[in-house]
Amino acid sequence: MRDASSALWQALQSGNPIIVVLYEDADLREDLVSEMEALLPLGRKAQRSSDVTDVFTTLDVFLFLTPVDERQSLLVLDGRREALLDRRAPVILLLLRDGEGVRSLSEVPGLASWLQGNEIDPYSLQQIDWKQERATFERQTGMSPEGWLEAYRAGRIPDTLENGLLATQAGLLENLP
Amino acid sequence: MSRKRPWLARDASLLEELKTSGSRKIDHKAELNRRLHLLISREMCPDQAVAWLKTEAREERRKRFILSENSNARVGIYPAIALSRLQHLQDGARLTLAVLVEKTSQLVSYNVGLQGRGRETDAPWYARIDLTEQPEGEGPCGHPLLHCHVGVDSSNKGEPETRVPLPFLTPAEALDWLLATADPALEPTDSD
Repeated sequence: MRDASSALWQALQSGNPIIVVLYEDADLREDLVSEMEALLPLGRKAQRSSDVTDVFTTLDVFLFLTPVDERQSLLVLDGRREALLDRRAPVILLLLRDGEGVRSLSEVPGLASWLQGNEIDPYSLQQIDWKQERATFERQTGMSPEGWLEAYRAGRIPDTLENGLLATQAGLLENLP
Repeated sequence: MSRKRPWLARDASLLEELKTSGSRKIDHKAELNRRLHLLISREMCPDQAVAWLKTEAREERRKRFILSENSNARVGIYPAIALSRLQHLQDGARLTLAVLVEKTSQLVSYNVGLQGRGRETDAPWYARIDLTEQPEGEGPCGHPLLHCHVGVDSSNKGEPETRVPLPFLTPAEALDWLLATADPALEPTDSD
């Protein structure tokens, strides 16, 4: 089943020389890079960079590239894409979702074709369909998340491991102020 | 002196620590992943175990870190990670994790559990640490906000329902405690 963690892990292990990961904003980007670093195989080196030329000099490290000028970096990567094949660890190119880099992909069809299928949008993969999940919860338990939590807290639902796990799901789905 | 007051004070103190921990902006998922890396480095679980801890997000409001359906074991219908080479539990012990946070780091509730059979005794054993969002049950003595269940059967609905009160622990610290209980070699060290 596809979720952000497994999609990122598979991409990092895939052997592809470059993958694209979309991010929402600068704050979330740092968290995202940290999360990807945690998914790397033990002992593998990682480096963060905003300089696209590092792609052609640091061939053995997982390179998390966050270019300041996304469009210009894509043009450089497209112009030297054959050199990407020399890499022994992937470049993880972080692009702002709906940003200039994503909009510029049509200008670099050669690179874009390489990237096809290697683009991951963790934010979207993490989002639940709240209404649908609530409906599923209600169908499975016969109660709304709020009603279930109230019964659980009052001790009317047994305090088992499975119900403890279900309580975190109800907490994710309950109506919030 | 009121018999209830010390228990209310403990819950109040825990809530205060919970609030403080939120301001420390702990990345609970990263901390749990560090523990999973430790287990991977000791060949106690597969390399991909770090990929099994997924995030379910409700926009920017709440997030849940939970094991994915890709993981290699189950407790009932719920995904778990099978652990091997633990000193005191037979191979196939099952680890369960669920952490609910507000925004990115404020803990709301969590549930960290480990169950298996003793290596020498073959006796079933489980322990799970629960942080509950609100007071539950009959009162803060029998059902403190942060407590540990210890018993033989995680689905047990029998009596008495044992909840051992605990001082404030983050989910990763709760996992440290469970792992060090099952294998003293996993005791946290100064260099961790």
